[in-house]
Amino acid sequence: MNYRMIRYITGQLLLVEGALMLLPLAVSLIYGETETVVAFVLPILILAVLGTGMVIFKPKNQTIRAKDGFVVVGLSWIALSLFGCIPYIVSGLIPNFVDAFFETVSGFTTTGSSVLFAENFARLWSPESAAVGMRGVFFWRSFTNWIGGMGVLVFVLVVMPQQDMKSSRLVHVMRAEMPGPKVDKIVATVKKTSAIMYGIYTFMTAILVILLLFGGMDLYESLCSAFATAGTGGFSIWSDSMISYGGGANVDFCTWVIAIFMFLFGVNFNVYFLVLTGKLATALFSEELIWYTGIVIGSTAIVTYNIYSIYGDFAESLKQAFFQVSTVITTTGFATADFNIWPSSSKALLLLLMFVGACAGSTGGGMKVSRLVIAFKSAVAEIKHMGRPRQVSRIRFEGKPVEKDTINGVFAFIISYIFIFFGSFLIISVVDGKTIETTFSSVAACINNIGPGLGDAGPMANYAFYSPISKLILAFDMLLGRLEIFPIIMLFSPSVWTEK
Amino acid sequence: MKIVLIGNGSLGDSLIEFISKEDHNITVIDEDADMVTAVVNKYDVLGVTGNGATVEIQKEADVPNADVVISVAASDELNLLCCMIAKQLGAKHAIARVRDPRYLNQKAFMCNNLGIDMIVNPEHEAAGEAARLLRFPAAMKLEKFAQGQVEVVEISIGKDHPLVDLPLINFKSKYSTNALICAAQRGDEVIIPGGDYVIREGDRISIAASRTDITALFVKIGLLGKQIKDVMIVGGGNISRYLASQLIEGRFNVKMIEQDEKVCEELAELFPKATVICGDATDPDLLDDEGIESTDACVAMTLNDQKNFIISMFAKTRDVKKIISKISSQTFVKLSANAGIDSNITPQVLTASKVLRYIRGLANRGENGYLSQIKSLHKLVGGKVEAIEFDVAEDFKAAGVPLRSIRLKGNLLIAAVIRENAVIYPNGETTLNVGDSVIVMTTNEHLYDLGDILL
Repeated sequence: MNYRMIRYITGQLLLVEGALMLLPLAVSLIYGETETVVAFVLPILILAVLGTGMVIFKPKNQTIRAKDGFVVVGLSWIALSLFGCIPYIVSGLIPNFVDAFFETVSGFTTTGSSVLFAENFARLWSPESAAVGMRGVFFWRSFTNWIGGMGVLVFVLVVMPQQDMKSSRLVHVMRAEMPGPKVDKIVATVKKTSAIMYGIYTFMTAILVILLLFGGMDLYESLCSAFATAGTGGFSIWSDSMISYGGGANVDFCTWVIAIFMFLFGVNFNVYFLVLTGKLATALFSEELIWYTGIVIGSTAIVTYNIYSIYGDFAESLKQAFFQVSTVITTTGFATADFNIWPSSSKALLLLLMFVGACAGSTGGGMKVSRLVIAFKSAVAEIKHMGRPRQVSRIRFEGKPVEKDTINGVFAFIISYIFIFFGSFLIISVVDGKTIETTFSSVAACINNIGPGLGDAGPMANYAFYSPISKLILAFDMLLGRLEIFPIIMLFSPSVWTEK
Repeated sequence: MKIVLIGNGSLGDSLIEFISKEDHNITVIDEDADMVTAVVNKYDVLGVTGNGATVEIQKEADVPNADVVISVAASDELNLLCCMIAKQLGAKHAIARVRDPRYLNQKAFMCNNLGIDMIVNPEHEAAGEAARLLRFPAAMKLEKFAQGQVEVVEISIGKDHPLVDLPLINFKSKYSTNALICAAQRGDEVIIPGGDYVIREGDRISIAASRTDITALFVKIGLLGKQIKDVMIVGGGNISRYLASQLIEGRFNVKMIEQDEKVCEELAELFPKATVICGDATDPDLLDDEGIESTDACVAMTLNDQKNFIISMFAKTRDVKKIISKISSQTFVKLSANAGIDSNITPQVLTASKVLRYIRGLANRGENGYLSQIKSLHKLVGGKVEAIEFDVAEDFKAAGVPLRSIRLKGNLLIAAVIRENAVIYPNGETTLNVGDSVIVMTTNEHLYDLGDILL
């Protein structure tokens, strides 16, 4: 294991996090929040000193291996969250460490589960004075969604000097952080691939900001909402999530825009790259995209039919259904309606979609459409094989044969997923003793990076009622879900840390 | 630049290793999916699995927009086909590896008529290197610059070597020579030594000078032994054939040992002047019978690294003066050097540096104002030092300025200047004039242009 290189990359990451905090700091200063500014100044100083200390000595051997890639990613995300929660604690928005850590992990992993109550949002919208305002802190809260969406190490790869990357095999870092069963570069170098990914991401976010401005939001509101949408995070700056948008915006317009953009951010970014390079046909006939679109359309149709009796108006039902399907399958977790009161068939469908998740290579979470399609195809092939043992067949996905390693990886992933899911479910049930619906959906919402669950943890409630142990387990599940299990699991397997 | 490489064998791997250190976008095509995965994990490159000679795969690798396509797959014909298709698709330059000796004579014809820009033949180059070393056995490695006017030779400092404990500052006066010690390797570290450097046992040093100066210096040091006359070549492959024909032309006595009877007959037919022995050269009895003790040089050129190593080790026990061994695996090179076999030839590294020079030359042409082009480039000391020959063109900013007033980059040295067919060993007063050739030694990579030496 190349500890020096792990130290070096983690140091780079801390510096980047410090630099990213300059943005909320600027917001704080613009709004004259003199008393909460320290909430950013303090962590920025800590990160700058610590980060510089870690990168000042460049390791001689810069080559990392697959194992190192996983460890770097796992460690970095934990470090990121530990330092990222300082603003909440210092500003007094969330004084308790476990709660602040939960909120930060939830932000970076683009989960969007929150411990904030309606009265906490009051500190944003009607503070006692401008000096103790929370605009900067809430900006940071939404911004964590954006950073975590594309991945912070991918960003480090963009800003890292090319000189350091030539023989470092940093592709392992990119693979460990980007979601999907088989992550590969789209252009020759890791740096350019990361830069293109971030370029597309930033561009789409910018368009969303402009559209939301059109919809009547002010710049602060549209930036924060766009960050949470683009990262498929789901942190809202309003206590009622996306129901009324604080009253100042065109609700119908903004709801449709956000619903469509959530869907778009759930698409594999390779598809956009293909569009950019003029390969429109290849992009549109991407197998994963077709499945994803099909699932969304089908689910929307069913839910629309199912909730028509509640809203009594087709346009309203369609809007609510599409928004809710989009927000759940992309694992964003915004709410425009309390789906707790919807019929059970719609709730069951939404719960299922939580596990499906978005496409590989997108900002969304969950198990990913491509993984499920590959698993489904190989299950079908295996069943056929039982009946006809001599038949030889090869599973194809996206027009190409799928390698055995990829299929094994998919099954290993799904099985680990199920074990972790039920393990967490069991522990939280024992510790907190909530209803099965609440506990089951909470774990599902966290491990799939969605946010709100059902029952007590529904879209109009929050996670504050869980005990600290449960919160830590849920935070752990969010990290496992965002990083697709293996980087975090590796941190805890002794074989990784010994060279034997 | 956009570079597509077809075929990921040992030459492919060396090429990627060299090229990926510079700012190029590299795509590798290979038929073996595991190979592609391995190369993508190892280097920062893009991989495509499939047959590189198909239009479909070439398009997938974006060959139509490629600046250079390098085809180094196993078969010569496949490489030629790949390059021809690539050129038709719009690739700007195509480089093919062709190693069958029967094609050697038609190299120019193929370049002109098939649209291929460069044909490389690692075996032929390896044989050339071996022949140079046999003509100047005191060197472990020898590279020529400026049409042979300047040579860089590498020697290893053994125990009791006359240069041991000599500070470089005294080197010139002690041997009243102009030759320059331009690189030194100690352990794994390679440096461009300054005057305070003291030579120690176990170092490998590179000396740059003209042939006559080097010969004079070696005579003074007492390194120049008897000329080599009898050479024993083990293995009957392409390198051996190229080498045998060069040596026979140079009136050496050549003895070739090969295991395969059929190949032996071919050799006997090809080289009537050589003695061809059929037998297993890893058998000590055979080597002794064939008089390895009395031979001047043993050249192990079988396809198998391990065999070459064993044969060379055995030759060493019989005190053969010059032992040259072909070694393809980079790890073996180190092992072999540690075991005291000084002259190792790695064909793919020789070829890779040649291709690298071509690519750097292209990279220059792409930008306006870059004129001081690379004329030749050699990787020395296991690839850690580059010796590059540049032309001084009019765009060179420091032309005519004495070296003492030019601020050069670190780890860099001007080893020689060639002006009007004479070699000048630079000192503080020397100037680099337009029209000169300059040989620069550096451990910094990426010198594309003479202007890059300036700070």
